[in-house]
Amino acid sequence: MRVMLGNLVLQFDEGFGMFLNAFYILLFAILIFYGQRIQFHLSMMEMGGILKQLFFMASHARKTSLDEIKKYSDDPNIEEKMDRLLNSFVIFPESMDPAGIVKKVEHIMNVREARFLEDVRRMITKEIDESRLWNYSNMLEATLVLNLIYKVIEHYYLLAKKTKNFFLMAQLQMIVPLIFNEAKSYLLAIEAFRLGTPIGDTIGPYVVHKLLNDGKTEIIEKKTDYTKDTDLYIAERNNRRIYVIKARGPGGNVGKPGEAIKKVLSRAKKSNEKIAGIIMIDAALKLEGEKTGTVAEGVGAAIGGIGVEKFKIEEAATKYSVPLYAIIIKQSIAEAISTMKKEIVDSTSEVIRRIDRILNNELEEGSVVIAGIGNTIGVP
Amino acid sequence: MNPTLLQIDSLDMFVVFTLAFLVILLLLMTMSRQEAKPRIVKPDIKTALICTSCGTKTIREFREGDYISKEADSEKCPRCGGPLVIDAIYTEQLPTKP
Ligand SMILES: [Zn+2]
Repeated sequence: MRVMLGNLVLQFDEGFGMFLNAFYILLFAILIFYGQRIQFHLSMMEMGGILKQLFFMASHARKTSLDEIKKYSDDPNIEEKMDRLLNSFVIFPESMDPAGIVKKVEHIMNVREARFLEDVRRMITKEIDESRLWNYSNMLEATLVLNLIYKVIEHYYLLAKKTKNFFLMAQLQMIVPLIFNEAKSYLLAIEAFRLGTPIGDTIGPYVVHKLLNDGKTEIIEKKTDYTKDTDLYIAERNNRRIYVIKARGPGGNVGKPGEAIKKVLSRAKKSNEKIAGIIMIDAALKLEGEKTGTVAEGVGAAIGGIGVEKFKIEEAATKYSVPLYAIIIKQSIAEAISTMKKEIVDSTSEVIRRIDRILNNELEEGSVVIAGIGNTIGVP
Repeated sequence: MNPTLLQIDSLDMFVVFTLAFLVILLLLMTMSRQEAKPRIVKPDIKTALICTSCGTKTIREFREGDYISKEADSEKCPRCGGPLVIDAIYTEQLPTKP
């Protein structure tokens, strides 16, 4: 046999041809019996690369947070304190007997929030304003999430590697692109919290802030800290009494809007005031095909989080039979936790138009509760 | 016979197949190797200010400490010299595309 490559001439004899024949058959046998193992090694290499990137992201986040906090602290043990915080955890209550579990979850989350904030406060040694402290607490929480993502992915990677489990590795390979995107958005979130800019999720508080200050609303009274970290504005708009609820800003904070709505409803009941409805404004996750900043309306409690506040709102609304209206502004997870995009800001006037339409045409006589749900960072 | 042409004896497509197979395998293996260190780009954040007396809007770069409704005491309205407040803080697009 002769193979000519340009001026190069390869000459093979019969024996070599037979050797190739055998080699080719052998290759088939190898692929049949070891194909999965080869695939496993390819997957492992890819996952190793992604894991490296996740590690880089987690350590970048940690370094950014550390550098930022060092501006307000000359504590020599700051790194140790921060790592202790970044490795902290929450144990959820037992749900085998679910009666009364909301109260337990609420209690544990309250303790966790308070402790986290106090831990951040203990890291600071210089004078700092309260809203910056809140922002730093949010920033560290995002850092913690990134750290956790890295650790969990690493766990499954090492487990699959150790047990040589192809299917575990394949599952990891399927889910990792989604998680990787989420990790990227947490990096952006850290930047937003560091600077104290509004994030996509801030649209709820932002809209009600605009509603209160657009010249058509007359604020009668502002009750700061009506419930924990949450403000209540009693106001008049379109000849209707409105109770506006939002978290206290401009530090990063979601407040306790559920508790506040419950309190407003029960006080109104006591003074025989009729509440005609509750309007909740919140950011919601969009589907991939939907445009950022699209406004949609519906009914029900528009609030995310762990579910405690949602539970309270639904319970109070049912107890006093008040209709629950929801207006949502659609955005992706990355947009919701990073600096607010222009499309989201631009949806504000549309949301206010819809609130006015509901106030003027749709609800019966009586006062209305309007709650701007979300993290109020950058909005006082 | 023209020596610049690649000539293959009919019986030995095997060589070509085997070589091609090995090349593809090598390509796959190098492709699946991801680069470490993703790019981290800082977002471009704008602050929109609005004049309280004439309503003129101005846009500038975001500065640390800005928040909604904060009075920008160092700046004045370029049209009437009135006081400015922060109307919005936003970014045009997300800096990292997946
Ligand atoms: Zn002006």
